[in-house]
Amino acid sequence: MRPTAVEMIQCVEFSLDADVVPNLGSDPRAHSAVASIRFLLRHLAVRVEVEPRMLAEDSRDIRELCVSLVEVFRSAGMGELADLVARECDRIPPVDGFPDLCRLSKENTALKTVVDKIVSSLGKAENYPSEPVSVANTLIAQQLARQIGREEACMNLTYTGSIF
Amino acid sequence: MQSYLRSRFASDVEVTTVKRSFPGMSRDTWLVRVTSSEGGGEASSRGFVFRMDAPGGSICPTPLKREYEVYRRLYGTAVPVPRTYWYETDQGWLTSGREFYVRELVDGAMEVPHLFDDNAEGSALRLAVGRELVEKLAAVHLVDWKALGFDAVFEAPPDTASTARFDLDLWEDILDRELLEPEPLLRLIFNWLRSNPPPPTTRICLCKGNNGLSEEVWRGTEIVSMNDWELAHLGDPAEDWVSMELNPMLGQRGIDPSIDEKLLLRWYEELTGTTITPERIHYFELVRGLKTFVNLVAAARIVDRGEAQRASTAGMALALYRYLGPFARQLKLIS
Repeated sequence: MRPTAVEMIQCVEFSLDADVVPNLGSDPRAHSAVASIRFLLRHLAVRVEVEPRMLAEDSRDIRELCVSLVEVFRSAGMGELADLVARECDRIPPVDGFPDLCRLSKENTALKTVVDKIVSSLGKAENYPSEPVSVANTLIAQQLARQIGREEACMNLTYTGSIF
Repeated sequence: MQSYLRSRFASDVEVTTVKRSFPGMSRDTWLVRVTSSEGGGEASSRGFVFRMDAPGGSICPTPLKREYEVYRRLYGTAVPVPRTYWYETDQGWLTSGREFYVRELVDGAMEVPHLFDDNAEGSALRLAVGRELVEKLAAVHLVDWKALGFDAVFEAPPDTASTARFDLDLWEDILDRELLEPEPLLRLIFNWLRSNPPPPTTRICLCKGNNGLSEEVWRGTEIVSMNDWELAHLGDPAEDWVSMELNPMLGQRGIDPSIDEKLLLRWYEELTGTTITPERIHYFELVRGLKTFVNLVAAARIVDRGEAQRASTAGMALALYRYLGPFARQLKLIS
């Protein structure tokens, strides 16, 4: 019988509409704040449901990407970069036990940092052979496309207009 | 504000109205009207603008002081800007430690009525307003920025050939400074732009960064004050073309299709001797998008620090994730 997170968020929005909005008058800043609040509430309602799964899937995806990238870099004689990727990923322990949101988020952020470093290295280095760089960039772009696809479930459902 | 103005301006200042401008997402802008005899004679009304970062910081990742310096250096040139009075750092006057500056409040409007009416009068009005925007933009770009010391305010590209790359590197440094969590897709976009540079510009000029209808103060079809310099920098004039707001949507960049953009470009070329090519316009449309993302990252940083005092700041931080995917798809970086 406990209200769920989504139900509570819905109640907040109902009260906003019934008790607050009618008393705002014509203040554009107040109306704009309400528009932002409404957008954030709707986003929260979706996010509370999907975020843990989204993060767990994304982290698994990044780990698999890193394994592929290590293979690509080793085969191309880019041993230093391969070692860096392997080492950085090994340093991030997978979330064990019950995967609470906080630990899932930390793991995902740490793994994204590895990908960010790889993208930065590949973008700035001028002495890497072009073919493995192209293969690596393609693998990374594919993983990022999947990441965006997962995140869009959170964003598109809730984004229904101006956030200001 | 009254105490401040009495200490700085005239001892008999009476504040009559205080209004915070809206929407104004980058910083707080307070419009203050006062009466004062300014030390003698009859009291008269005048206005001041107080400008400061929002509580928690600005989403605009450039220092407030730069805006003040732009106004101060441009005052008295062919570019109409309000007079600046003071840049305040005295802790005794600051609210929540926020520095502020005060400038003249120039009377006028942020819009031109009936501009997008679908009739002959609207069409003629759009041409006149377009011409005015081009003339004032040309005035900005023709400013002798070296003589006015703008290279002490902004980082100056070393030469025209490397201007685009220089600016991109600057903004990636800003991203690195603002980013609390990695976003590899943003990095990929920087890499793409680096690998796909525009044809080089033929001049490095003072760029306004945000220009157009609601960024300036109008009286009729004349711009009497150019405001909103928070994204000003030294760079390629094509970037300012892309930042122009000349359409019915408040705050949206772009030139309405009912206005002959080629004619405006021709006028610009006649005034400045500089051609803005479609290739450079396309490149800077992408750069504009990227810079907007960096601003949204700055919003996320404010939220992450627990200093966001407005719901809209969190909304802006989330907007990054709403638009990043489609932008990357537009570049064909991801499928």
